[in-house]
Amino acid sequence: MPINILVVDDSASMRKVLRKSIQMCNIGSITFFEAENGQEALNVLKGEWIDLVFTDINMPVMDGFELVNKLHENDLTKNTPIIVVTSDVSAENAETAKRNNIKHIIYKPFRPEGIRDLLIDLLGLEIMEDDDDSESEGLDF
Amino acid sequence: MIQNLKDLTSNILETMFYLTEETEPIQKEQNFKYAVCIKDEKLDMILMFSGRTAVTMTENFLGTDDITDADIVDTLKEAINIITGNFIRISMNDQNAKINIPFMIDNISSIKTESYQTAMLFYKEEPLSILLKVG
Repeated sequence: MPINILVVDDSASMRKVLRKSIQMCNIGSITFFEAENGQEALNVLKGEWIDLVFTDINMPVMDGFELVNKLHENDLTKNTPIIVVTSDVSAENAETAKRNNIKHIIYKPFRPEGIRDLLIDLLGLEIMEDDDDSESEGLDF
Repeated sequence: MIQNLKDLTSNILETMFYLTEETEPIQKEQNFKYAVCIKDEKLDMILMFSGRTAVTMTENFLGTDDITDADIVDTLKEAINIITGNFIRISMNDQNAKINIPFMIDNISSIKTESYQTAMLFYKEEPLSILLKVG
């Protein structure tokens, strides 16, 4: 069964890079959903079950912290794992993340390898061997 | 401070954009096609790229050679955003400054380079110019 991953970032390039980085982890079949900001992400979540959310913090319309709060307030999404991906390495940002019960932060710059162990741990997955069947699948929006 | 920024930029471009800094070439051409900027009351930073460096960087970042000019612009903005985020918090030790949204400078010849601290990185014999104004 594919894993549904929602990637939230106002940069289209960063969304592509995150998708590629996740695909390189070789964790099996993945269906990707994308959103440009927190509000778009909530709209996606209204119609789709999402197993894992990657989100930026600084975004227009609705930022990552507000999105996380909304997810925590909803019974259906309060346990959805969230990984924050940010270039803001400030102590204040880390403290705000802690206050918002964000347990996983990936700081930019990152390498795809940095995402792999976190994903396996979060989703309780095993690494798949390289073969044709292990190519990730996804929906393009 | 400009040396810190140069080292940080080199590190970030290598880590996320797979660009490895080269030694300074004997013949230098300063043919910049793209300039991206982040500006606020404390910091004014500009990165200037040759067309080839910008294309290579974008292809490396996105993992494809099928790129558009919009991809290049988005990638350069992402790069300066990452560099600024790290530079302000670590090198300037400013935990409170809000990081502004980057923008492209269309008229590169209008940039008054003499009013900035400057540093150069080289990739495939082409320069990447770093301009910094603090305070």
